[in-house]
This record gives sequence, C-alpha cells and structure tokens, in this order.
Amino acid sequence: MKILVVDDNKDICMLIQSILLADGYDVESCCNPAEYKEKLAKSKPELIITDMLMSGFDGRTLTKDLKRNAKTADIKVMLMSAHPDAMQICDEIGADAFLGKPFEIDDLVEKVETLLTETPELNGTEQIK
Amino acid sequence: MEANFPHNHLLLKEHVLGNVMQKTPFGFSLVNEDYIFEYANAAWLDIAQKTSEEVIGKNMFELFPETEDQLLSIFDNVKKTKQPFYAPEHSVRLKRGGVMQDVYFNFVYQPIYSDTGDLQYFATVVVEVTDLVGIRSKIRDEEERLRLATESSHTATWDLNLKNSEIFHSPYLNKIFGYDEEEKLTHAKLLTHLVDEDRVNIVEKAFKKALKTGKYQYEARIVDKNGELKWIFTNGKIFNDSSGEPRRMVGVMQNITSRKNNEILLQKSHHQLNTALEATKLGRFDMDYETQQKYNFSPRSLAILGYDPETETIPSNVFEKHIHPDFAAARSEALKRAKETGDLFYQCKIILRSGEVKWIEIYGRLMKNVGEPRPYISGTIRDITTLKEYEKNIKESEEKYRFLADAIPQIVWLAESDGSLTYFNQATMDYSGLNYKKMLEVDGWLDLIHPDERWENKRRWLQSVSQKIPYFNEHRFRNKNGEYRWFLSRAIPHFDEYGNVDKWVGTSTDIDDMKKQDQHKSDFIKIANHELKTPVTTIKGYVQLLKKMRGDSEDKFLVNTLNTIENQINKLNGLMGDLLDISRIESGQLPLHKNVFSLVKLVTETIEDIKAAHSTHKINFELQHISDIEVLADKHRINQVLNNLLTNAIKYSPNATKVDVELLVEDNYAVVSVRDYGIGMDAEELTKIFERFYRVSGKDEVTFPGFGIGLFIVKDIMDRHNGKIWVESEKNKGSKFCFALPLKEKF
Repeated sequence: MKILVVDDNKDICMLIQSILLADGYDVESCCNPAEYKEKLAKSKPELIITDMLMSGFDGRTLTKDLKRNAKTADIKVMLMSAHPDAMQICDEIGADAFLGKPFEIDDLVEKVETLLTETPELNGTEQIK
Repeated sequence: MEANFPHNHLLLKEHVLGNVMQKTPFGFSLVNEDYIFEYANAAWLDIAQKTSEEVIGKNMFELFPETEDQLLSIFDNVKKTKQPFYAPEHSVRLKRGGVMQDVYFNFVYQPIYSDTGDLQYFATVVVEVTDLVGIRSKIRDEEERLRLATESSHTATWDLNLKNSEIFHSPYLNKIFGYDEEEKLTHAKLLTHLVDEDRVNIVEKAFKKALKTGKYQYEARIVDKNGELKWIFTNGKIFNDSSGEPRRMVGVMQNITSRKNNEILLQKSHHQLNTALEATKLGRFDMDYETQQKYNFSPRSLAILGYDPETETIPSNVFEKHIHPDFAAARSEALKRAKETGDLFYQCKIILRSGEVKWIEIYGRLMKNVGEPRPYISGTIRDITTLKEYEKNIKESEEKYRFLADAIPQIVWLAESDGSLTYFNQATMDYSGLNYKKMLEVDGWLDLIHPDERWENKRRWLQSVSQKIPYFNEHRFRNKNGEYRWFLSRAIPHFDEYGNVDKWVGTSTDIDDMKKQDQHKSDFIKIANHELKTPVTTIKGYVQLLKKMRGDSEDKFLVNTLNTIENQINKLNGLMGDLLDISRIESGQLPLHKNVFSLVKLVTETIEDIKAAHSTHKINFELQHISDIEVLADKHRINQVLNNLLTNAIKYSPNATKVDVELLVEDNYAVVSVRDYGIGMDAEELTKIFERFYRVSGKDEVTFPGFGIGLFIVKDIMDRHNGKIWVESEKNKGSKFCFALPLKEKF
C-alpha cells in the first residue's frame, strides 16, 4: 500500500481515492479510527492524507502520534482542512504538506508526487506512474 | 571841587570859619602831613565819637590804629597823585563805644597845598552812610528771599508792559518754558508755547476778561522748548496809567503739571468708579449702624427699593420697612456679625410697595472713623432677582438631569480635564455595589474593571485625556455578585470657549448580551463555513475529475456544463471565504501570519493566476524598480488584496480589454497600483467604497455580483499591516486603486 486517505466523510475519501487511482497510485481509504488502526497495522503506507477535524478523530493527534513513533516517523503526512488558518498548524505538529479544502485536483496530484519522489530511500519502489 | 583856604586870612577868620565848620552837617577834619589832627568839627567828632580834646594834636593812626592799614595807602596815593580821593560807601571797621563795628562813610580826602606847593593838610570830609547802606542791603536780602521763595514754590514772577509787550521776569520763568536761565525770552516767544486750543479758548479769553476786571487768571497747557507738555497757572493784576489806560500787568506763574495730572487721574478714577457702579448696577448707601436710619443713599439704591428719588421723600427706615419678614432674623444676625468683624453681608428678599418681591444683596463695612460722631455702615446694594431666578432654574435643571442620569440603566460618569473621575450615576453603584466615595478616590474606579483590562484601560483613558480625543473602550465590569459583564465605554470631551477641555462626559453600556450573540453568530458562521466546505470540496473535486476524464469529449453540452459547475462552485467558495473573513474582522479575530516574501514574485504569480481565469482582459505589469522588493506581511492576505483589486478591475470594466498593474517604491513603501478603464466612480461613490456591503452600480442600474465586502476586507488587511489604500477615479473613465505596504526595513 502506498497512500492511505483518512477522512470522516466517505465522499471525500472516495474522491481522493479516485483522483489518485486515476493517476496510477495505490490508494486505500478509511473513515473512522478503528478502520484506520486496522489498515495501519496491516501494512505501513508511505503517505497518509488526513483531514484535520473529524468527528471523534483528530488529524493533528494522528500526525503527532505517527511522527513521535520511530516505526512510523518516516511516513509522510499531508494535512487537509477547510479551516482558513490550518496551514499554520502544519509546521507545529510536523506534517509534511497541507491541502486546503476545497482543492484543485492538479494541486493535490502535484503535492503527492512531490512528497513521494523527494524521499531518496523510497526511490525505486513500486511506483506505477 | 578844590577847597581853598587863603593862608593869610586864616587866623583872622578862624573863629568865623570855626563856627561855620562846627555847624556843617558833615564831618570835617584837617590833619597835617604828619597825620596830626589840627582840626575836627562837631559832626566829625560825633562820627568818631571822640571829644575835641581827645583828638586835636594827636596822631591819627595812634588815635585810630585800626585804620592805619586801610588809610595810610590812600593818603600816600593822594600825596603822590595830588588828586582827591573819593570813597563812596566806604566800609571802615571802627571801635565805637567800645564795640567794633562796620561803619560806612562817604569819604573825600582832599590834599591842601601851601602857596609853595607843599602839602600842608589832608582835609577829610566824611558823611556816615551806615544806615543807608544797611537799608539797601536789607532790600537786597528781601529781594533774594522773595526770589528764593517764589522759585522754591515753583513760581515765576513777571511784569509785562502792555504798551510795548516788553516783559521782565524771574529766571524761573525760563525754567517753566524749558529754556536756560541766560536765554532771552520775549512775550511773543512765550505765547508760541501755548497749546493752540488753550491759547484761543482760555488765555485770550482770560486776557479780555482781565482788561475789564483788572484780574488775570487762567490754567492752560504749554509745550515747552523740549516738547514736554506742561500745565501752567497764571495769576496777575493790571495796572493803569494816570489816564486810566492799562499800562502794565504784573503777576506770577506756576508750573502745576503734577497737580493737574493728579487731578486728571482722580477724575479718571472717579469716572471709573461711577462707570463700575453703573455697570454693576450697584447702589451705594450709608446707614447709621445703631438706628439703621439711612442718611446717604444713592439714587440707584433708592430705585432698587422702589422709590423715585427725584419726586419722593424717602422714609428713614427704608430697609426695615421693606425687608421680607422671612429674612428679618437673618438680617439682624448679619448686622450683629458686622459689629464683630466689621463686614456686613447678606442676601434677602424685599417687598416693594407695589407688592413685587425682589432679591437684594448687601455688602458693607462698619465705619468707626475718628471724627465721625457715630459708627455707620457704608455699603452697596444690588438687585439679584434675576440672578436668583437663574440660580433656581439651574438648580432645577441640574436636579432634573441628575434624576435623569440616575434613572437610566446606563452607567454615566463625569471627569475633570485632568482625567480624574468626579461623578458616577446611581446605576454605577447599583450595578457594582461599590462605595461611591471610594470610586472617586484616585484610580478608585479601576476596582470595577476586570484585572486583565485595568492597565490597558488606564492607558487608553490617559491617552484620550492627553490628546483630547474621544475615548472608546470595551471592557468587563464586575457586578455586585462578582461576575464580569462586557461594557462599551465612551467619553466625549466638552470644550470651553478657549478650546480647553473643561469636562469629560462618559457612558458605559452593557454589551454583554450583544457580545455573546455576536460570538454565537461568529461561531455559527465558522461552523457553517466548515460544514459547507465539505460538500463544496466534493462537488468541486468530482467536477474536476469528470473534466479530466471527459474534458476532451465530443459532447459539448457535457463540457460546458462541467465548466459552469466548476466556475460557480469557485464563486461559492470565494463568497464563503469573504463571509468568514468579515465575521472574523468584526470580532477582531482575523489573524495575520507574517513572513518576509518578495512582492515582485507575488504580484507576478497573482497576475498569472488571474490571467488563467479571465481571458477577456490583457494584464500589463510594469515594474518601476530595479531590485527585488521584500515586505514582511501575510502573503496569503496580500494575495487576497491584489486578487480582489484585479478581479474588481476586470469586473467593473466589462467593455475594456486591459488592466495596467504597476509596482514601485516610494518613501519606504512598496506601492502597487491597479488601473482599469471601466465604469469608474463619482466623488460620492468614492467615499463609500470601503464600507461594508457597498456595491458600485453601472449604467442603467446594472449591478455587479458580490457581497460588496471585498474592499472592506482589503482595507482592514491594509490597516492591520500599517499600510495604506487609496483610489483615484473618474466616472466612465476608470479607476486606479493603489495600496502601499511598508518595506521590510520599516518593521
């Protein structure tokens, strides 16, 4: 698994999944904490795209937990939010990229591509594109 | 005259001559060349107070040794010159009757020669003139005394010949007219010094009168030789000649300048006093302290008491007669006090004969002068009826306003020009439960305010006070239950006629409920915005995905529809952003995230984005600066500002094809201007465009879409960057919007 999309809104999960699938990425999604934990335990993704404010679920805590854990610290995190000031929070919690909602799909694709190509050790892995 | 005594007949006629000589009224003596007396007549002996026996045959200088010094040289001289010696009023010191005296003689020393030409005798003829000399010297003394007297009393004497205008005068006259004593004065010259007006009106008239009455008297002004204005007083008398014609005029003249000036001063101060009495409508009175009878009341004081002083007789106990019974006791008390302190003061009502009631004010002083038969009160009386009515009105009005201030639920307060608080209405106490007196102490009112806001509150208040500008503040006040509520305080300075603050009037309004509602509204908009963005994100995303997948389809309808949906969803997103911004601006919660960035790059990128979305207009960018321009600002917000101006420029110039953008540096500011060639605005519209919910209308009331809040947000963003925004515009020609940001160094 390459990319895991986390959003409490199923439609958003579907949308992002569709966009990235169309670009040839291996994408999975989840829309609640239990599902997320399950998917994460099953296989380690290279990139997690997560919404910031979700019902019963906080993208910030998620990010911090990932970055604090040595086993998961190398997973890239892209934070999404409709909140106008969310971009500033990114740096504070150690997220790697930010995507404001609503977004341009080209913008999403470009950011994902950048995140997945800039890390040297990930080069040569099963990138379809 | 030479006396000649023929020698031959001397003896014959000795006794005849002797008799004659003895009886002549002048002294006559003969001394021979050895100064031995050979003859002395009775008159001579009388002068010398000697007897014949004591003198005849004696040496002159042995007899009168005291005269040797004086006379010997004279005789020698007579011998030598053979000329007689005349000595009129010759002073000789003589011992007479044992007393040394200054005696004056008219002397003639006549040498008598023998036939052979030898000196035979000195004949001395002597007439005593001591008395005559004494009288003359007395006259001289008298004259000197008179002169001194006249001069020390600043009096000159003069004597004018009326026939030829020749004038004799004492030297002091020169002084009066400013001349040196030796300068010669003529009557004509003196007349030129008179002030023209006085010469015509006073002096010439006085002279005419003098010709009739014989008495000449006037006071007039002169300008002396040195240009000094002086007052002179002249008093003279005319003397007629034997035919009754005026011949001369004799008199004195005094310099009365200082007296006259004092008189004028006195007149002036008297006039001033009268004017003051007149202006203040004060009446004057003198009143017997014991009997309280009036004896010297000015007409005005009588008029105040309701009398006509010209036609009426005034009762002597005029005060007692008219005093309002309610004030009789107070008046007695005041009079009693005057006896102790010397000062009398009271205000009371009086009832006039007409029944009219007036208020009067009495000020007086108890006079106990030596020489006055009885103590009396000298004072003033003033009609203060209107003043009292005015006071009453003011008091009533003050009570009314105080009641009003206490009745309203708002907190009302007053402060002095220095910012110290001097009044709080009842609502303040009711709300806070604080002690009124403690509130008025220095900074006592700070107790009312939330501790977090006290310092800021004091700072703002003192700033307003020092700059004399209205005070606005939102802060929390503690109520008597210890809970805090939000209040909006406003204070406005009240200026006196000289532009100084004489007081501050402040109000504090409870805005807690409003504030909470506002917060709810703001929270609601935030939540609504967030919630709305999820469906917007989904729609926008799927539309784009669809376009990506089906954008090259032959189905034009599908492509157009997808484009329209995307455009509209972008607009919807923009409007939602504006709505959120305005809500955050209103609640003061619009955060700025400042970073240093290149404005050149930002402008270039923004123009590119706009170009991509709007193909109707060509956007020209001109950079008027060589190097890069860096600013410390919220990049996202500055992008929003420029974006707004560019979309406006396109939106409001539907018939134009270009927009000009310029970037330059001016006075430490980076200035960006956006010029369009659209509908433009008139002066009235220009004043409103930065207001909320204002939209410019085009021709025929064509309206342009939008909330009308874009420029309001833009202005707020610029304000919060210490920047500026302005606009130049002309109806139907277009507009030029400019904004300026301080360069990086300025932060």
